[in-house]
Amino acid sequence: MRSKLEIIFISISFIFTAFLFIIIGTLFIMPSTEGFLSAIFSNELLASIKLTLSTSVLAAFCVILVAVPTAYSLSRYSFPLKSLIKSILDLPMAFPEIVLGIALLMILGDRFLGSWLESLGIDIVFTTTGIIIAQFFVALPYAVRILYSTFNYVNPRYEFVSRSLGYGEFETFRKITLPLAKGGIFASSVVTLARCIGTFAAVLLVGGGTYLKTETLPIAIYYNLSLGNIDTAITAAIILVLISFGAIFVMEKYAHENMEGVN
Amino acid sequence: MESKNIAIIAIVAIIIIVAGLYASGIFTGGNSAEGNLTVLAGAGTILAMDDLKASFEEKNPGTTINIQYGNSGELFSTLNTQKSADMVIPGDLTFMEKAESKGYLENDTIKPIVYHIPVIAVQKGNPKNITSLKDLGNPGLKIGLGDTNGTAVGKQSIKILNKTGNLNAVKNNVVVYAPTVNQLMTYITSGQVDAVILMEEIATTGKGQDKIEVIKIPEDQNAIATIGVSLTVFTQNKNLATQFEDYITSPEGLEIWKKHGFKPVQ
Repeated sequence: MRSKLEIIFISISFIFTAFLFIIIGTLFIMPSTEGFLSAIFSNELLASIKLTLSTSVLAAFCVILVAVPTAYSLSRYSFPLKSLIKSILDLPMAFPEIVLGIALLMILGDRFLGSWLESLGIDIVFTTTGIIIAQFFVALPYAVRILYSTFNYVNPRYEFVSRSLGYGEFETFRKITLPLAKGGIFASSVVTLARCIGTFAAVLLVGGGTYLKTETLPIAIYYNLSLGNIDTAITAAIILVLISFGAIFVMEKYAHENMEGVN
Repeated sequence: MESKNIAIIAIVAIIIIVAGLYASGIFTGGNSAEGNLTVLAGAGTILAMDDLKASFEEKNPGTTINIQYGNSGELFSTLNTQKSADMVIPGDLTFMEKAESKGYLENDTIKPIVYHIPVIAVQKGNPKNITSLKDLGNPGLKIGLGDTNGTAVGKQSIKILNKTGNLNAVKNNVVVYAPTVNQLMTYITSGQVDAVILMEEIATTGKGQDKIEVIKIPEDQNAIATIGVSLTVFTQNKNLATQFEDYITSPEGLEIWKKHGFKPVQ
């Protein structure tokens, strides 16, 4: 006999998952087949898919490169201002990404860094570089979060043993810690990539959202909605759903295999 | 015990939210019942129209004006697919010709209201010394334009630069075609671009105006659009619709348009 609480909780999860499923599902029945096909093979969406994937993969790669050492030091070392750094890194998760977008615009504007970068010939605003930078800062906190708890779960004893058996500090990190944290690194890469792909407001502001040039998939949805091209907008939305679904599927599968390996 | 309380709180919260959404009319949408009007209006008119709606509703208790904003393309596809709005207020009169040819408008109710005038905006102090449309083609400048499909000002910009004959030179300087006009204001005030072409009412109202300088485009080079109003043939509440149309074109209504930077047609 299930308790009342159990029944209530399970029904809540059922009802709202069903709602969510229906909401996402309607996307797939909205466009006509021809509309979907002609939209997906249009120059606009092909360019948009290419741009979104290339910028996101690059941004996610950079995020992981930065997040691994950051999360590791937060997890293992004690140093001044550690809790402040942790809070600052968490901040962007709490505020809308447009805040990051406007902040990036301001700092890259002529008044500060901008003129110096411009004298070096580096253009950030309105370019793909700008898109990657916006995605980087939006996704970084998520990666650090996941990797932080991953490293927390890696028992430092393995590292001590490895050191005492003669591995150096860096060798231990590379050959013991990283393999043990493999699952978490993979999971955070997937989440990071998904976050990069889905970044909207920051990318719109910093990249400019120019048609065919800095128009990522989320911007393509927004732009085509404003033009009344519902089919194209929905097709872009479906592509995003499929990409996310793929990412989550891979993650679940991998996490599962990993668990089996451990047990 | 505690988790049970949380469960109860969660359920109550969900019920309140759903009831609230329902009460706010999100699920039912705007309908054309007694005392209700549905208006399709150009995105550029949002500040003026919200103001006009508020003062009209205040003067006529019990009436509700639902306004859907969008660019011409959106408005037309809404009219085309839903065939339900009482009134249209597009940002450009060419919309009227298109809608008229489809037989969607009450032809004798079409009235021009105010002008939509493109201007050049530059940073405060005009550091790049831009004084005319010709200057926008000077090498090395960074220009921002509205998207040429999605925004009215973007379309007008192309027309204007075609007239001046330096479209290609300017295009080489364009670093961004912004899908929303507000972005242009952000880029010019934050110093990301040296000049933008946008609508006068956006440049001369609001907080940004003391951070930019406006350069008027001579009338013979400009492509000035006219904002107009018309009742649709789908209206179910012609009296109220006529009343609202009269109000927004009355001297009192025109004062509100002026307050938001628009110039009346008469």
